[in-house]
Amino acid sequence: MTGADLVVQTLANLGVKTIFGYPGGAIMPVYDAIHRGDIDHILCRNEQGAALAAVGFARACNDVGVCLATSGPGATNLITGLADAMLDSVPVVAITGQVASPLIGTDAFQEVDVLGLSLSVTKHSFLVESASELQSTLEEAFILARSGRPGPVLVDIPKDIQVAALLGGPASADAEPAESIADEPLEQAAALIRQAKQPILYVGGGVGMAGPQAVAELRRFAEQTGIPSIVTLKGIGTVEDSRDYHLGMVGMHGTKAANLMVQESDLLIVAGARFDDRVTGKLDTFAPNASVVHFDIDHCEISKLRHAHVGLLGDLTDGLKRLGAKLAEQPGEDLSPWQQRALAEKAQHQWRYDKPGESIYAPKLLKLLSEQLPTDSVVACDVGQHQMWVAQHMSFSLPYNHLSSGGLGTMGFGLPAAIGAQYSRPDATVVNVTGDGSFMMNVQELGTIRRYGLPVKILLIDNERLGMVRQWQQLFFDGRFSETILSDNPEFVTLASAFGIAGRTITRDDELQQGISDLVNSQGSYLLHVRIDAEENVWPLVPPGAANQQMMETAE
Amino acid sequence: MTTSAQSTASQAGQQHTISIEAQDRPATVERLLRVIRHRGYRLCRMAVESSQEDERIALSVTVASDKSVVLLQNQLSKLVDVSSVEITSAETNPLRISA
Repeated sequence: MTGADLVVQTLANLGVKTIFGYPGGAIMPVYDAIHRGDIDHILCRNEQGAALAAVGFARACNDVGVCLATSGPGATNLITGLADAMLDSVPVVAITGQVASPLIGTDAFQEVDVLGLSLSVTKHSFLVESASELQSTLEEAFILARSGRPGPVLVDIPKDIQVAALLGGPASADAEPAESIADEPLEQAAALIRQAKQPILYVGGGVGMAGPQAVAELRRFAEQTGIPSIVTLKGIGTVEDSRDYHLGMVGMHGTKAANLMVQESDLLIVAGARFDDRVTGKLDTFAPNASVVHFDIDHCEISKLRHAHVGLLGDLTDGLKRLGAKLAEQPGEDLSPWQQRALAEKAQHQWRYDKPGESIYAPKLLKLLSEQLPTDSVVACDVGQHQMWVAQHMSFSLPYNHLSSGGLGTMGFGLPAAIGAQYSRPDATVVNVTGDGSFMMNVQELGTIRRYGLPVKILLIDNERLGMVRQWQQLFFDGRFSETILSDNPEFVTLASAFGIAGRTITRDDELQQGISDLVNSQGSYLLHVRIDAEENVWPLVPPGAANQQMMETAE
Repeated sequence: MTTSAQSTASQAGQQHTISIEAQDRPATVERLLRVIRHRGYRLCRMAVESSQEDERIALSVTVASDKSVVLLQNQLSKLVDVSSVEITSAETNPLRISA
């Protein structure tokens, strides 16, 4: 067989059924092998779409997503998707064709130094230098992508290696198991938890990535200890929203209850979170009196931004179980005053949906959508105001159901991520919640929905603005709305219809129920275009450079 | 191969010398230098020795920063090709992290 056949066969042997990509000159042998091979290739309409579809695929099933592109512009278009995967620790394997080995370094047609480009946006990357190492390199790419802290891995394959004659063999690429957390730091953590009167469980995306068992164990730990919990954007869905002592999302657009209580905590039990600036506000004012117990799989995160009194490196599921056992044996302080406080803060700062007027209130729209979607639905958002409204007002039963570009904040993420998720969760209802700015960033992927007849639903919240930037211009730039007014948007429903996608526009509150029902119950893909007020802002907001308790709630 | 570059720019923060052992793969040195720069450390001196027989590469780098050198040690040791990162400067107790 050829190197190209070996690529396709190795992917198949590793259990890959679907890959996302776009052909071109330097990857043509692999596309030829795909034509005769056993893998479903999904043609996206831009390599960025393919990379983000691989991210969506991976996040919705918590396993590796694969994307494929040619050299030069194909590879450069992948970069944003890889950076997205890097910042959100998503296991993705990207395969790129490269010009033939003798041509590398000659400025050949469609030659860029992809290995060099990849360095800052991948967990690791390979340039395959000899045909004999092709299979082992692919296997190592999968092992690296899914082991430890997951991330994107790129394999750049020169064209001469794709056409070389090779022999393949059985392939395997299981994740390396996480090491067990040592007993001594667990004992220290237990001691700190026993002393704490106002502890907070601070839950990030790492828990979901540690697997469904880690999610279950974390819920059990929360239940056993009764410690009030907060989640990051990527931690949403990890703790049940129905939990009494769950305070919701923390940070810049977090709930008042979460932001107020985390500031008063005396102990943070951090699980798979990393003190991101969108969580902490001004770092040295974040939870100023709290000690820190930090679970992570990446040793670089322990004490990177906030000193950890105890670092717990390794297998989260097992670590939580053992920590829970220690606390069951010898429980700590009575937390009931702190728990009562949690209930009171939640009650006092409930979301309100009774906005007066005829226009559609986006938080209410999303709350209603959340109530009408089946529990195992996947929502892939874009980036901006609608993304924060999704995080605030929709409820998710698992972290794999909420796909949001957290670290990179990639506008244009949602539509391709939804396409990828529809492939890894074919039976789930998949909804892309987007804004009029983000939607246009990867609108070409409507072509992918059309090509494969995908039932992806699209909820487009349209304020004719780049709303989040507009909000900041209003609040922090004296109302100078530089390049954020999009009153010349296309007719979105007409645009969708050009791709064979049904849809409608709603503008009034009394159209909400029917509009959501049309979206959720459509057989195929559907676009619900919702016009909202341009002036609507996301509240509360921790302004830049402020402490988390200093939340703004109006523009006054 | 041995290269050495002495910086003439003004010193910022404390200097530390770090010994790094790694697999000699395409871009290994670039990866190390990228992490040093991006994480906020200035390169003052560097020596590289690579041996073709065992595909290993050894680097000695002197860096300056106001940040703790342990943070850099952690980030370097996370790189896939890196097998060990040792802080060898006199100011700090030698501390070895195996990757």
